[in-house]
Order: sequence, then C-alpha cells, then structure tokens
Amino acid sequence: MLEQVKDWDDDFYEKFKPIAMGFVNEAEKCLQCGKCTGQCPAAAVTPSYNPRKIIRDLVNGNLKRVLSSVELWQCFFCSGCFSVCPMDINFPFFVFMFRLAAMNEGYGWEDVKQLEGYAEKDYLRKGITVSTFERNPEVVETIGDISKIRMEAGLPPERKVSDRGLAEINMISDLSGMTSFMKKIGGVELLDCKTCNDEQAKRCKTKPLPSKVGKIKTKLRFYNYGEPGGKAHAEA
Amino acid sequence: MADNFLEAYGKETSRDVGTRTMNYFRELFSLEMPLGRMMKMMPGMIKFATASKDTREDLFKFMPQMMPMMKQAFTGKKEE
Ligand code: SF4
Ligand code: SF4
Repeated sequence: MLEQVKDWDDDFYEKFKPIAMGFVNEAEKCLQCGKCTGQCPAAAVTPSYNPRKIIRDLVNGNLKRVLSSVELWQCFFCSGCFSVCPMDINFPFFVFMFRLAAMNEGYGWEDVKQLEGYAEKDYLRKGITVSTFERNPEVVETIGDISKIRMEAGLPPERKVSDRGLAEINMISDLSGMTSFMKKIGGVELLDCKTCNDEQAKRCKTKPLPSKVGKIKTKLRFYNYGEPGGKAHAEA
Repeated sequence: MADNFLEAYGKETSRDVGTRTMNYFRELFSLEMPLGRMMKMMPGMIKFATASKDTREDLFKFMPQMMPMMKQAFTGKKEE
C-alpha cells in the first residue's frame, strides 16, 4: 500500500496555529535546508530520525505518518535545531505538542508510562523534580548513583523541599490536571536494578504495553521515516 | 497486526486524524471553565488550604480573583 498525497490534511497547520497560543513559529517558512538534522545529536545516533522530514510532514498535514512514528519520540529537547535554524523554527515545541496528539491517538504510551513511578514517588510526594535514582547500570558502575555524588559534595542525598513548596507543587499539579494525568498513566513500576529479583528483572525487560489508558486504546509505533510507508514495528 | 502505519489507520485519512487532533487540542487549550473542570481543581485547593496556616491565608487572599471563574463554572455564563 502506498501513501496517498490526497490523504494529507492541507488545512491542518493553519487551523493549528491559533490554538498553539502564539508559541508556534512559522514552520511553513522552513527551507528544508536540513541544518536542524545536521546538528541534531539524536539524528547522529539514530539514522532514521530526521527533524527536517517531520517538519515537512507537519506543514503538509501528513498526520498519520508523524503521529504513529517512533521518530517523534527520539528528540530529547536540546533545542540545538532551534538555535541553528535560519528561519527560527521552534521544532522542539512542535515535538512537545505532537507527542500529546500522538498519545491521544494511542501511540507512544510505552515511553510515557516509565515516568509513572518517578511521578508519584519523587515528584508528588517529595517534590523532587530531578530523580536521584540512576538506572543506567554503566553510569552506576563508573560514576555511581546521583545521591552518592551529592553526598560526596557535602549535600544531602536528596534535595529537601519545604512543606510549603510541596503543597504548592501538589496544588499546581492538581489544578493543571497533571496529577490526574499521572494517575492515568499508572501501572508500570520503576524497578531498581540493585534490589530487584529475577521475576522483576524479566518483567522489566518485557515491559508490557497496557491495551488501554483511560479511554485511549494503545498501539505500537512504526519506524515511519526509515522507508516510505513505514517499515517495522517498534519494540514495546 | 498491522505492518505499517497505513494499514494501522486503514480507511482513515490524515484529514480525519487532523480533525480528531484539532478537537483534542481545542479541548486541551480551552480557557473555558466548565463545572467538571472546576470540580477537578477542588482537591488541589483543599489540599493546599489544609497544608498549613500560611498556605490557607495565601489561598484566601487569592479568592477575589478566583470568584469570576467560579461563578462562570457554576452558572455556565461568562461575566462581562
Ligand atoms: S534548519 Fe530550519 S529551515 Fe532548515 S530544514 Fe530545519 S527547520 Fe527547516
Ligand atoms: S531538540 Fe530534538 S530535534 Fe532538535 S536538535 Fe535536539 S534532539 Fe534534535
């Protein structure tokens, strides 16, 4: 099956602009020069990732391809593309918006769900915005846990947040709907490699994607920018 | 299971997906305050008010600014 240009939503971008409350820079001015891709660290390690192509598809309204892609989830918001873009296009902002839209379509939940343990445990209960728990075994081996580094520097292992600060974080989260969102993504626990048993380790490797999150039916993403029409499934 | 995104979407065009996405964004960024949304905010405010004397006082100071929004939520009408 081939992608059909007549499927694209030409008007989408114009309709989308006023909604984004002026944050959206004019992506239709993209020159397709590829400077963004050229300096993107994510594109350097994942060949199929290409910000330029994603911008093109956003402006053309090729939404099926963007929203169901793994590539949409490979940006890590360094904003390098924004800083080199001759037309001043804020690409990371688009990524942020379209990840929300992708989740609404049921794509990308396997990535988001991993945040749940952190969200409930560190953020809402302790007010810590950067988790001290390092999960990369290589980092733990060579540098150590973040809490250890903090202690060596004479700091408490975890940042202490005042009761008032905690109350504020909780209120803002409740008011903005963040808390209910965190509750909605609940289910997959963050496992600690140092303490987990065999069974947990197995579960960790085969992290199942829930079939539904709230009313949204979850789906597996595709590598849409590797080959035309998309190739294989992304591993959950 | 679908092999690529075109199969996954079947007969749906990007136009359908675009309409769905726009509806989602419109709801997400809407500045209106229906009752349901207001009720969702209540637990946060109660938690904040009961956290300490200091936070309670703070919230009450903010009340005059909240009133129009609350009225709008309960009556469904926007004040001029
Ligand atoms: S650097 Fe800017 S103008 Fe060039 S392709 Fe990327 S987004 Fe488009
Ligand atoms: S913000 Fe995202 S797309 Fe832009 S350079 Fe960084 S990783 Fe690449």
